Amino acid sequence: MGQRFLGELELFVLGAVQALGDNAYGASIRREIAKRTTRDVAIGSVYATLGNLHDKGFVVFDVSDPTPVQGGRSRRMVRLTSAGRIALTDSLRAVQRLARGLALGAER
Amino acid sequence: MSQPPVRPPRLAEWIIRSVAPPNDVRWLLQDFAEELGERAASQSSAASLRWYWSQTIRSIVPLLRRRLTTLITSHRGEHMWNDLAQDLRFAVRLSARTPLTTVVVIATLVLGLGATTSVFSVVDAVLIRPLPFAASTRTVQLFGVLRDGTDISSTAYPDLLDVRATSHAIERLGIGQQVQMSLEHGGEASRIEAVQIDSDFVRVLDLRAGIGRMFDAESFAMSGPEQVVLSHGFWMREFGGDRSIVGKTITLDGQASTVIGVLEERPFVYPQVSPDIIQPLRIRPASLFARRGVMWATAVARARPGLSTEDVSRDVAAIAHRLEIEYPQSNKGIGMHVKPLRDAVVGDIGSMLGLLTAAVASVLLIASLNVGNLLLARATARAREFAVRVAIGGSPWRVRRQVLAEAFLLAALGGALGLALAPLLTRTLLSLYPGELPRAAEIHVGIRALLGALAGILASSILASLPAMRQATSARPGLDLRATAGAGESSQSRRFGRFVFGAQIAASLTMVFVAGLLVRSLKETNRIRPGFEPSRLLTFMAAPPRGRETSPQAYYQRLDDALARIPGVTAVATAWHIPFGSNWHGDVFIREDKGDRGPANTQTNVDAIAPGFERTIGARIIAGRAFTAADNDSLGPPVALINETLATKAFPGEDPVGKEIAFNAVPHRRIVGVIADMKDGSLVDPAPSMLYLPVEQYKQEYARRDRYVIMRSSRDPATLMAEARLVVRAVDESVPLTDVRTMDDRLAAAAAAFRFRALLLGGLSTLAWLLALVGVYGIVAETVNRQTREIGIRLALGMTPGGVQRTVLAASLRTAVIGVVVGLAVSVAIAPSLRSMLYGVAARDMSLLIAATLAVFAAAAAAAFIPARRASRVDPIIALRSD
Repeated sequence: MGQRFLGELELFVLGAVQALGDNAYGASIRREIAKRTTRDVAIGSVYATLGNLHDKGFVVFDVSDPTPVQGGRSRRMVRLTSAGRIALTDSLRAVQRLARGLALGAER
Repeated sequence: MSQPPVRPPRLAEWIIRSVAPPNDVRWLLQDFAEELGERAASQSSAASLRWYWSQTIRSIVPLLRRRLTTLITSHRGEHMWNDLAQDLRFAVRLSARTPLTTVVVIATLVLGLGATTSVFSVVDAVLIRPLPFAASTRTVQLFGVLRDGTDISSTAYPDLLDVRATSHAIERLGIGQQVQMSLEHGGEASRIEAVQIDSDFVRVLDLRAGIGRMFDAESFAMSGPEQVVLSHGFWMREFGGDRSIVGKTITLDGQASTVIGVLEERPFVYPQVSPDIIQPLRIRPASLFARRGVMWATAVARARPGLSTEDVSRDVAAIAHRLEIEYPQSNKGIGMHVKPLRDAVVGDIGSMLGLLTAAVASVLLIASLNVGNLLLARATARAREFAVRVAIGGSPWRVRRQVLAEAFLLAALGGALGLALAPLLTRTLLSLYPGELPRAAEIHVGIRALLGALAGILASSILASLPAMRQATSARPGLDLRATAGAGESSQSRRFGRFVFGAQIAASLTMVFVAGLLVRSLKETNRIRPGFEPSRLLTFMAAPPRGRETSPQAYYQRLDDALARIPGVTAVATAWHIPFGSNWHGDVFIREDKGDRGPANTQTNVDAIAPGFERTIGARIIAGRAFTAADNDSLGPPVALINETLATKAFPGEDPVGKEIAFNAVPHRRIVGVIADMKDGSLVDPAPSMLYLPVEQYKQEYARRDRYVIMRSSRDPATLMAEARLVVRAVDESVPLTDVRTMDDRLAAAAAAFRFRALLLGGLSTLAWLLALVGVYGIVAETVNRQTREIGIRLALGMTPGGVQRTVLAASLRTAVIGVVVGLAVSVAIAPSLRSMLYGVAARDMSLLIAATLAVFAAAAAAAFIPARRASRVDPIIALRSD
């Protein structure tokens, strides 16, 4: 496939997964994106994007042990693969190169 | 936290579950719930719920899109088509392993889909597709209508000219008529069908010449040259498609006409849809054709854009009303209305085709249910296999697709064969159809029928595989892996079995009942007495020779004498029109004793007969006398006969014999007798009113000079045909003999619509009945198979074999009763809509309802009996050891 470009949402999700480290799962990824980008993404979109990333081999799923509290449940955790890490880096670099020299106005 | 936890809304959860990819559902709902809980801790519960709902709604589209992607590329990354190919290969292997089932399934679908496709082709061509010319949906036919509501398909020429001149709703109005002519070609004379039309008719129907040209202004001029345009079919038939015919002359009715063109291959002409030739219509102002009250013309009109048929009808009725006031002498009691041209062409064939479609659809439904049940049986038998597949990680979707692939494979095979069969079935259907099916030339199994068949294949395969799919994916690995064959049946497959059983009983009962109605109607029509003696009568039409010295009178006299000398012939007579023949005439007369103050002009059919006609045909004179040879004199005192119907209509409560009427521009015509009614045109309708004149006394310039000849003989009239032909040729070899048929044939043709319906529905309902029989047998047999173990236990516990048999039978018959009740309800509900096709039988005939119920119920009982008997013979030892 050669170069693998990421869509915006894919970039956000991969970034959030990277940032969350061992604690990345659907709801935490959504919150992380909201915190970092101020975008309120629908949970369904996060899942759909995770599914696509999984198909591309950028993330893998892991079902965790139940959380150690009463009634705690197991979670489907998300981990970046090395391909995912490379794709994320490539895309972030591209964004940086694009942003260089652009007048970006004050952040709202 | 004192606050009770906020529960996620059930509906929202259900939505998420339905749209999300199955693998994600659990985690998704968990995440939704987690965040809801967090929000509920810091917000009002209403705000949390609002959040939940907005999240749900915003998630629908991305989740669905994702689900679609997973469908196309399975999560292992394999391509869907690889899986599909694998499924299909597996389906082929599986089908090959059970050849009998496979053949039954395919044969069922071939018949079902083939019949559906061919019936759809006919319905599409006749009923659905618009007529093949521009603005055809705005085109209507004008009808004359009598005060008593009787339609007269023709109208008077001057009335039409008035409509053309004054109507606000009509854009263009064409006038025409259908006539028969004789063509002399290559030394032989033949009868041909001609349509004479005016220039607007050409434009309304958008007629164009494929070769040569259409008529121009000169063609329609009163003293213009004699010109003719050939139809494509006639040109191919008669002239072998010779292009050089254009510009040459042919002889029509003794007159030379120049062929100026040939119509396009598939034009639409009216009132004769496929005439041999068309000619310009020329009406001399002084002729009878131009008289008010003489109704002969067929009119087609195009409505102005945006106006409906009703608008045109109102407009035309108003004009007719004005004409009634303006010309009471000729127009009193005569109205006008319009019908969409397509309805006029198609006639009451619509209800027939509707019935046929419903019947074929029922057969396809019963067939699909049978196939569905067979597939379900297969799926049930493989419950363990499916359970294993799901248990070791196979996706339920994959299993469902497998089942669908099997159904589709069978349906595709059945469909392909059915489609191959469709043209043949269509041709058979058309050849069975009595007379000419309207628009028959437009019928072909085309792309739309193909699409229809594909839709049928898809629908039937999905319908057939639905229950099996549910069965397959309801696999509960724990249960089904533990379950052993014969330990019991799933409630789902049992429910579906009962549904199929009941539905088949209901559908076949309805069909048997409808077929019964139609067969009974046919039997009743065969019993109708037509009012004359139809057996041993040979009838044909002979036109007198043109352009020769002999008068028609002299010609027919010579012909009569010559025919009477044929051995076995006991009587010969001639007439313009005979019952169940063509050559109709209609006109009006005035009762002279009532004068102008009397009732409106009486409209009646008119026949001109030679003396001895009523004796030859076997009709009774019920009052007065018949015509004598002395009456048949154009210079003698004018006389007439009327039939009973006309007597009651025009002379209610009076003795018509001796009364005088003015008719045919001749006053003081004395009615000398009343003749018994003869059925005409239709066996089931009442006899039309008839006025008979001695043939020599009926002079009409627009009337045809050719007559029917009827011969009664002491031997089979069919054997007379060849001799009659020889005699006609010997008398004058230029005279073509047409419409040669025995009277029995004519009556049979009149009942043909009944025979066609009875035959077709009889056949289809027998098919449905047989399929239902097979279906019921299959269901009960299968139930017994699955209950073998249970039956074994019961027997071991002391139940008698008879008891087992009764139990199985009773269970089947309970279901059959439900089917019968539904079938009876449907029958009673649809029966009234069949009324127009019935004769001599009530639509809700009780004896037929009972007979149909018995036929279906007995079949169900018989089909259930065999497996029930087998159940009673189960050996408990073997049954319990069978695991």
